[in-house]
Amino acid sequence: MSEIISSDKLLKEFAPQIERTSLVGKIWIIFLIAVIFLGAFALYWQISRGHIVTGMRENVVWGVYIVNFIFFMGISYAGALISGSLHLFHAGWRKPIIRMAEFITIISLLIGPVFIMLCIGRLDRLPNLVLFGRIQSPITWDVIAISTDIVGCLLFLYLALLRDLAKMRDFTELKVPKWKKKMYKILALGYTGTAEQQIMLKRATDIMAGMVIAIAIIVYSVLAWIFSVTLQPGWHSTIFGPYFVIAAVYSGSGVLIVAMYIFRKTYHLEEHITLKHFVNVGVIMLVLAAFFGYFTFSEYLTKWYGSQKNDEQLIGILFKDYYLMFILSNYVGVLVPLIVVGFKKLRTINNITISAVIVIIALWLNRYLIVVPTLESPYLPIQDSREAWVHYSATWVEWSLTAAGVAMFCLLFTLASKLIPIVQVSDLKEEPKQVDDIYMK
Amino acid sequence: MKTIKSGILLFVTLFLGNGLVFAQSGDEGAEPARTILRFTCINTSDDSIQLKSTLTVRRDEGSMNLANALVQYFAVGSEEDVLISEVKTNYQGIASIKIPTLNSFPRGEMDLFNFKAVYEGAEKYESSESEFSLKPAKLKVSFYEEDSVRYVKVEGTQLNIDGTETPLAETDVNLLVPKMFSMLKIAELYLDETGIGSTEFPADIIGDSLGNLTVVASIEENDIYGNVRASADNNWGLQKHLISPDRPSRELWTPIAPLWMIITLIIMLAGVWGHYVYAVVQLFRIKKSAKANEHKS
Amino acid sequence: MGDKKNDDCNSRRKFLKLGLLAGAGTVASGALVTAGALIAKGHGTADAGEKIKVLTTTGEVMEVDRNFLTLAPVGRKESHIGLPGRKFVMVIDLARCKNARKCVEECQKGHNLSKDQEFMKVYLLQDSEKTAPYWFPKPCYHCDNPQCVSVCPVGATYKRSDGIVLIDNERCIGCKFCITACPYSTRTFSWKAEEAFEIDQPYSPEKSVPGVEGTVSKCDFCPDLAREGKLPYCVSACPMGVIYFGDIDEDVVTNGLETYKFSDLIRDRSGYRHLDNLGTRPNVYYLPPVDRQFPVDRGLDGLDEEVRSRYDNTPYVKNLKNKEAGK
Repeated sequence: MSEIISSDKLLKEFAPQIERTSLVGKIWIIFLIAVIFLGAFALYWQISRGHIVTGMRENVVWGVYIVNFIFFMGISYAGALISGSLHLFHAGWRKPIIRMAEFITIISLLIGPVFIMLCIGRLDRLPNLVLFGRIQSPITWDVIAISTDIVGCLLFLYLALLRDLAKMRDFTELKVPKWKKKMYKILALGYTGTAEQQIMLKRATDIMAGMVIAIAIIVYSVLAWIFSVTLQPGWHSTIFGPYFVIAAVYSGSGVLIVAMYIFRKTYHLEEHITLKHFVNVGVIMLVLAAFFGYFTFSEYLTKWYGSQKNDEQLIGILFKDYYLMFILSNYVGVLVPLIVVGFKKLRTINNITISAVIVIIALWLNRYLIVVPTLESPYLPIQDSREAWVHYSATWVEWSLTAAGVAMFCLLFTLASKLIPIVQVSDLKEEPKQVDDIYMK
Repeated sequence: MKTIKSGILLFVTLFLGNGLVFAQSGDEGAEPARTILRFTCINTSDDSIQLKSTLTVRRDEGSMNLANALVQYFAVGSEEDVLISEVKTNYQGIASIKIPTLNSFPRGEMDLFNFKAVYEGAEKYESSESEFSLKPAKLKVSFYEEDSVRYVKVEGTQLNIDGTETPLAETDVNLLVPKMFSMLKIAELYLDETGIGSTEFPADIIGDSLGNLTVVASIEENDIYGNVRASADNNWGLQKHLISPDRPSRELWTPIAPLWMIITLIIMLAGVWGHYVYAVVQLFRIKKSAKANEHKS
Repeated sequence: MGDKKNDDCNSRRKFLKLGLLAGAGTVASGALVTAGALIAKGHGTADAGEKIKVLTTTGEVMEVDRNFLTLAPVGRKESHIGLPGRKFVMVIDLARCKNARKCVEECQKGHNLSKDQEFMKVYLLQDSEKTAPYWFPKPCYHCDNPQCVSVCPVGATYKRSDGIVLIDNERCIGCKFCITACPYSTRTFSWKAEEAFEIDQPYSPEKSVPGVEGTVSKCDFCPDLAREGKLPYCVSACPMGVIYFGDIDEDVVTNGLETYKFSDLIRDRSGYRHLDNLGTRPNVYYLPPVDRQFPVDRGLDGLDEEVRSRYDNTPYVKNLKNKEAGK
């Protein structure tokens, strides 16, 4: 019982974010809902008129939707890596940011698959995936893997929330509606923090932390295999699995930094989320940047050096039609975090956040460059007079739905932070001071 | 045709009338469409002649078969034409009839029968007609083996007006084997002055699964005899290789996944979900212990 | 949208009901006609034909015009079984092709396709700078190791014992994975509801008619025609006899006019398969453009402006234009 009472002070500090929403917060939520409505309208438009309203055509049959799908699945890695592996390695500094990472994971994991559904011609036949599922198809692997991942991540998140839920339940001063209190009570499962319960919880959490990492690797590899099992010149690559995994964690770390920055500002968490956290996650990002750069380099180097006809054609397109995008995603997106985090003088919260934003954009573009140019350069040359058939460019429908996806991500994140403290309350006090000092150096 | 009958249900459907058909095919009320009657006659070597015509209609978008149209067949005489029969075209626009060779139809010059096919036209279709002349003749196909070499022998006979038969001499004959969509020409032979010709039978012709095949001897569009055809069966063909019932080496595209894939999937799923269950069990134990604590206090 | 669907359902039900009439089986021989096909293909009839009595499922006797007796198109389930003992193969003689596009047009007509959708495409290929350009008709290759079938998550596309790869448009979810998996860009997607989809005919995967919005379709080797002993639309349409079709187990292919032994043709003319190195094992063979019957530029004559402009970016046409400008 002692553990719970002693963190009341902390809880008091986080209570406002749960108790009320500021005017700016309300406007923000309304804005997000408006964007989602725009997306809903675009979806209606697409369903009623057919996929002809998108920029996708015969050759580029997958467009921005698939890019978004890979992207959101990618950032879901933030939770798996940061919270899962940091949990396993008992990194004490992780505690203030662990909750955000888990939220990122679960929310993006819910949004990602929606995008692949937008790309499907007959939504009414989705049940066929289960009714007639073929195990040979990577899409079936994906369906199985993603649903397993969602369950696992929900479970992991819940395990991590349990102690906080118990605290919210026991924190009588909290001024929230009755339904919220009831929800806390039911979800807390009567956890009171006895030694026995702590052991059980730790066991479950340890297991799930390992599982979440393993599954995330599988999910992302499966995603990569959707592309690499085909014979398309730009996709048929053995390193796609690990490449996608690294790219996913990389983008996840970027999104985590941005989330840390935003919540630090809006909820005034300066005391808990400090430069140290930014630097630590930044260093992770730096390592991943190096890996990502390495994979990208070896992927394109082998293609370019061997210069098989179709590879050559693809690389020609990448360096001609997609020149700017290629530079931005595969040069700037790698070098900026390397430089910013690599040099101590440049390591400010603002700098690290800016490089994280660049990383996010670069990674989105990276996926675009994987999907679209390959489809634009098939084995048989595209001979068509219709511009849309030759070159892909997304329409307002696709952009609206993309925006709606981002808005939905932000909205769910905002709402989640209204239910549960965005920082794990129950763990903060355990943080030993001396560890702090080590990290500051 | 056999496969169709055995494999498929026969369906019937009914439409409100022919108007619907016309409405769909466009140009209503326009002037009558031009029709083309392609007419040919075949000596079928069983003492009969087949009269066969195909009726097509010219439309803007091309030609199409005219079904259910009445085609009249005449034997053309020096004084007047004798109506032989009236036949309706089938859905492929074909109207066909067989008549015996020995009959009282008039013959023209050089002992030739003259036949005429007439389509009288209808409201929307112009009339058309076509003629064909031929002398009755027949072929006989037989097979023999000599020094373990296989031969096809063809004997040709022509039927004169006085009822006598004389050799069908000095003519080229094609040897064909009917295949799924068409006839494969396997050899050509020449009928000598006695009306007999023979040629070696090629060893690499594929028959059915038992090696049975039909050999057709055919004279085509001859000035005198028109078309003459006869056929005979033998079992000299190579046995047709039937698709082996064995599974293909790569099972990726088959309905059932390869075994290794299924096993891998089951192991992975069992492993992961087993751990999930373990974690959930821990949660239940937490709840249980909470209840136990409540009771204590 | 819902209304339209309902209508579709109704018309289908109507057809099926009528179709069941034949269950009685009073009519088993004679000229069998698909009424749907009559309309679709624009056959005409001269007058109302002879009536035939048939038994309905409810036991009533009905008179039906003989011309509308029909062979039902093969349904979804039956279409999984190939024609027994057959294995289809196509041979395309590049020496004869002059891009007359009759194959494309007849195929579109036969499969009730919109102008945008081509099951058969004609490319202008040139393997490298100094090699000769040639016209390259490309149907579906009906591979023996079909990537598209492997990756389909719902088994909507399948390979049959006769080698034909078909699509069941009533199961396809439209994920387009097969389109990206096919290295030959063979498959097309129905991006919108076309007017042509509203044809009153029961759906058959063997006909690929009527099309279904939001699903994938492609060249089907016309098994419905093969069942009647007829050649595919593209084969019989080609004025040059470019395309041969047949049963590879019979070792015979024909273009409707000439019939050859498949093995002779491939041996004598050095037949090959396109991109054979990909391991897809296509069932379409090409005869190289040797001793051509037409110079390649004849293929550019008489084309619609739209079609002609498709080839504007090929090195050959660019060169041609440069030469003209040079003069």
